[in-house]
Amino acid sequence: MAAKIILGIWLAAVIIASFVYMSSTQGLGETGRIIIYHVPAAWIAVLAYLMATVNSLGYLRRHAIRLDRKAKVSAELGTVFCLLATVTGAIWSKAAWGLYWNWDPRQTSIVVLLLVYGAYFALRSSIADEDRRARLSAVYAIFAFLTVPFLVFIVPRVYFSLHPDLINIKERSFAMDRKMLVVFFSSLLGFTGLYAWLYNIRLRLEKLLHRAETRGEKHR
Amino acid sequence: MTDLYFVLAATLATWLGLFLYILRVDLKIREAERREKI
Repeated sequence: MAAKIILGIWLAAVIIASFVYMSSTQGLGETGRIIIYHVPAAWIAVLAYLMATVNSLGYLRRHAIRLDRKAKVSAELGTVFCLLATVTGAIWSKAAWGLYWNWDPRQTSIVVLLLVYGAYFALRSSIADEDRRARLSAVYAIFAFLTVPFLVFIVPRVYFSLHPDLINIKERSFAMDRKMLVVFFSSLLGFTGLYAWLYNIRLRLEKLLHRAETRGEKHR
Repeated sequence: MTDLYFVLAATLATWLGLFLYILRVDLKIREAERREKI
């Protein structure tokens, strides 16, 4: 319980610091503060999709249904955080470019990513048999993750994009001042903690539902 | 400046609301797990 309270206070402190301690960003003005929420959300989406892939690989090796559950929960959370990154990105886009959506390569690639994982859930819901569903969705999750580095890191850098880059590739440094870096990495840490907590809650809920379903089948 | 503090207050209120909601769900699941064991 103490860790959860600390997480709550930590993220509240990050929010306050992102408005009070951190100065406005060069070139982006006050709207640039959204980076503190937008980038960690995108980072968690990638991390969660990676976890879904690792658990899917584990399922194919060991055929343990708990690994399929972990993969499903991770993919769900990845999609929630991916949507959060999309929404925060659209809000910033409206402030900076005057439009919520303009099919910039970053925006297009994140929509494709959401569709790829949307198909994962469609696949899962279309198969009734538990083992078959777990096997097929594990294979799909592994192939789906192959698109993640391509869509998140490569496509937006190959095509011309108005999206600002956090990393100055020529100078191999972050395009942020020291104060902003402190708040940014604190936010990354806080978001990772939030993901771990949500993952734990969702997994426990999934186990309870599974037990209730099994009990229901026995009583039939 | 006032706008900035308004956005800060709204973001903070959203997070605190969300945090308390997640904490409540966590406690409810813990309660269900405890009942399962009994």
